[in-house]
Amino acid sequence: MTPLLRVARLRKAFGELRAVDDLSLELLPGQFACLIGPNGAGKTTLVNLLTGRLAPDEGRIEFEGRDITGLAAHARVRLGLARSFQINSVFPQLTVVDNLAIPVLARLGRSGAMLSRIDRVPELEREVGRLLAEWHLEAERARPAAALSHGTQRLLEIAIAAAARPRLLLLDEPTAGLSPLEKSQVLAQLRRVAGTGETTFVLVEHDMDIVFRLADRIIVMHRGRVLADGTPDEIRANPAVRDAYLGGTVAGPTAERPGSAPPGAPLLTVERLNTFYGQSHVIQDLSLTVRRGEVVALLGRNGAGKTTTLRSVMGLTPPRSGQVLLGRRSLKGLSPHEIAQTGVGYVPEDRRIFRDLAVRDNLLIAARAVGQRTDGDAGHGWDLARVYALFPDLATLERLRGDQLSGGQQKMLAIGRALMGNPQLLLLDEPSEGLAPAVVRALAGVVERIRTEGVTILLAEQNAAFATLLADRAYIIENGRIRLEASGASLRAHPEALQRYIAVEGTPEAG
Amino acid sequence: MRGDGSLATVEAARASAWPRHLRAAAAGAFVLALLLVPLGANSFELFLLARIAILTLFAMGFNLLFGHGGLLSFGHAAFYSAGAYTAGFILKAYPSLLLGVLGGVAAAGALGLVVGFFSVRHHDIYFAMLTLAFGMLVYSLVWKWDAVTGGDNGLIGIPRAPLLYPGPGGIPMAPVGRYYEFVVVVTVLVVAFLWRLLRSPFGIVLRGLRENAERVEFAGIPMRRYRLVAFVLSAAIAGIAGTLVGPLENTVGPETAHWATSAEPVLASLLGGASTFSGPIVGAALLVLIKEIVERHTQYWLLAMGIVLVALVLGLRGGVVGGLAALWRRTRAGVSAGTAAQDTVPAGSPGRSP
Repeated sequence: MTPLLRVARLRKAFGELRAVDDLSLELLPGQFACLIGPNGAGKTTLVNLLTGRLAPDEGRIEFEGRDITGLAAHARVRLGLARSFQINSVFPQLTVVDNLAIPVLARLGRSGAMLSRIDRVPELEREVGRLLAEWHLEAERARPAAALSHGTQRLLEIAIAAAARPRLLLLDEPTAGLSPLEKSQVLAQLRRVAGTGETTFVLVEHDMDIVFRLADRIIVMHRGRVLADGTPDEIRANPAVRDAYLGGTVAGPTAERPGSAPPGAPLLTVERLNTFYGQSHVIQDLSLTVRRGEVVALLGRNGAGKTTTLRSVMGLTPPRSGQVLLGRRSLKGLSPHEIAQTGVGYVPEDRRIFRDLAVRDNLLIAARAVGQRTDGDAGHGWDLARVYALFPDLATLERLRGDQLSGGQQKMLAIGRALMGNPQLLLLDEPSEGLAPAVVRALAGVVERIRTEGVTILLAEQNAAFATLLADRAYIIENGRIRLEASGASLRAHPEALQRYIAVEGTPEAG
Repeated sequence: MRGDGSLATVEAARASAWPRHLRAAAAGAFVLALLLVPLGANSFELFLLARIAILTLFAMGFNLLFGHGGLLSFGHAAFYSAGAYTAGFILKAYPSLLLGVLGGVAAAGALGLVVGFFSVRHHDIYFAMLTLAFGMLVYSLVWKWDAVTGGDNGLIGIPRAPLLYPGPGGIPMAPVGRYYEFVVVVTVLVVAFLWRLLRSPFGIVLRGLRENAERVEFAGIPMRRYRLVAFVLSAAIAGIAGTLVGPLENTVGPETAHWATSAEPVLASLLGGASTFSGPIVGAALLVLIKEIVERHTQYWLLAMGIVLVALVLGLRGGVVGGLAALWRRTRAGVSAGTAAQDTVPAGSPGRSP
């Protein structure tokens, strides 16, 4: 069989960093391949090179026997090589229907028609209707993409890529941030499309559950090279992969964790919080307490109100009513920068690092921006050296620009940046999302260390396995209300108690 | 006319707030009324209305690129001026209005192809700066190239030529009422073309370019080529507006190419609502009227204009049309919101453990 895709000696460097290093690869038609590897291994860079978002420094890419190395991205899509993006890249102000109409028109060769009415283009309505049904978007058809929840936007993101009916579809972390229900919808649909044999898949994925369930071939990348390539069984048995990626022994939940001091007085008190987005009442009478020295988890599905709660505390989405106290001081009516100066650090889900600044400058600017703490506390004396000690990767990458980092490295940087502001309370929004299993475990260690250094932590998560590993206490949030409060120990002992509310699965398989 | 906003091209085409035939009837009545104006208006009023129509064309051409395509050009006076001068040359050489207009459009479109070729590969501020630079280049050419353009004086004595050709049967256009009707017909044709264009596949792709150009490329569409087509169309429509100026005022001056002229469609679009279809029409009318009224009392009409703009940007986001449409939606939604809010509260919500 002639290969669908053939990659020969591909190289791409960003300054000193060799993101893709002399990589060669072949894909046969009909394969379902998963591309895995630690954060920063070069997976997204490879996808960018294959789809024409980046030009390689060296090497050759052939698609169906044709050299496409120098071909523009749109021309590659026309040949049948499509992709989705790691960070949602939809058309925010356009409706779901219009979002899908654009790639469908392109495929039908009608995107340039100026004088025919959009609703009279043959095939368009049927094709868009088919996509809406397949990707469970029918109910949202007339809403602008920006109004959709993250999970639904994710479905749309993949549907836009699939609309091109490609011969080869590259999906960059398609299930990142999806609820278990949405995940299973996506997987079922991917399986169905794969079953027709028309499309060959390459998935960049961190969820080992999904990888080992779907893939008939797994390609493991490490430092820009292919570390291993084979069937799931071969990969599972490969010792090099275990070391580099799947991680050694699991630092399983332990009842007694070192360094957990007895909790102190309440540091953050939220009382009867009500927050609205326009007409919709997103947070309803929410109350919670975080005591000094605690790690508290806010667990819930996509759209449950986790992010909005954190944003309300931070003053980014000011609540309509209710009380937010840091110690005895009310944060109500303060602007986000004033709240930061009282010693609250915030790491948003989408990281928001400065893309044009070097890693080092990203960190230094945060220290300056927060400046003098107004609460009289000197904080915990975080500086570059301490952040680098916590994240050795950042020290080696310190001269790279923010946008040259991988998704996982950006996450580290965002946490490091928040620490540079010397917070007494750190708000972490979905810290484990999109991270490789080994990195998730490393992150758990990092959070634990941050806590032992005196920082109190409130984290929003839908990965219950990760959150309960760390948390002293957890609140379960659903539809903007707290449904349950439980100690971390009891959740670790009875994970099934969470089943109703969130994902209990998703624990990385350690092999 | 219903402000299309940025929502739902496909949905809007299928079911709009007004039934299709009703909307067509309303638009037809409006055009008919415009054509009947000369029966009861003096020539000053006709001049004013013609100016509004010309700025409408200019602003709608500009806004095709800005409000719908997401590209802010600060150099559209170049195309306006190219249309105006070319039509002026033609009319002075051979008095045929149609020939003048067609020649002017071709010149503006050709200039748009050149400027667009270099500009559309850039985004945001770089695109705006490049178009501004090209606009200034054209201005200095027009201003300094005395032998051809008449320099500071511009072209004078441009005739309000007959529609087709001089002599009997050429349809004379000299009376201001007749010329006004010609301007209205041209404007209506262009507006109708744009209405259809924005509901075509190309129109939806154009909006896609505004929202996320990279994703358009990854949908399999050559994004730059589409931008260039939009740019040329936009320049050509600005050129049409330009061709209509000379015959109205009998003269075309270098100020048509000045960057202050480039600012006029920007202001008209923002004033009326750049993300709506009819915004530039309303904005153009307001701009011409405010200027006219204020100029009678004071020479500081820009001051008044500035105040109006500041008030609009602070008070009515989305311009007059966009702002009113949003207000209308909110009042309508407000009626049903009361019941909807109650629905979201579950009946027996479980309390939480302390």
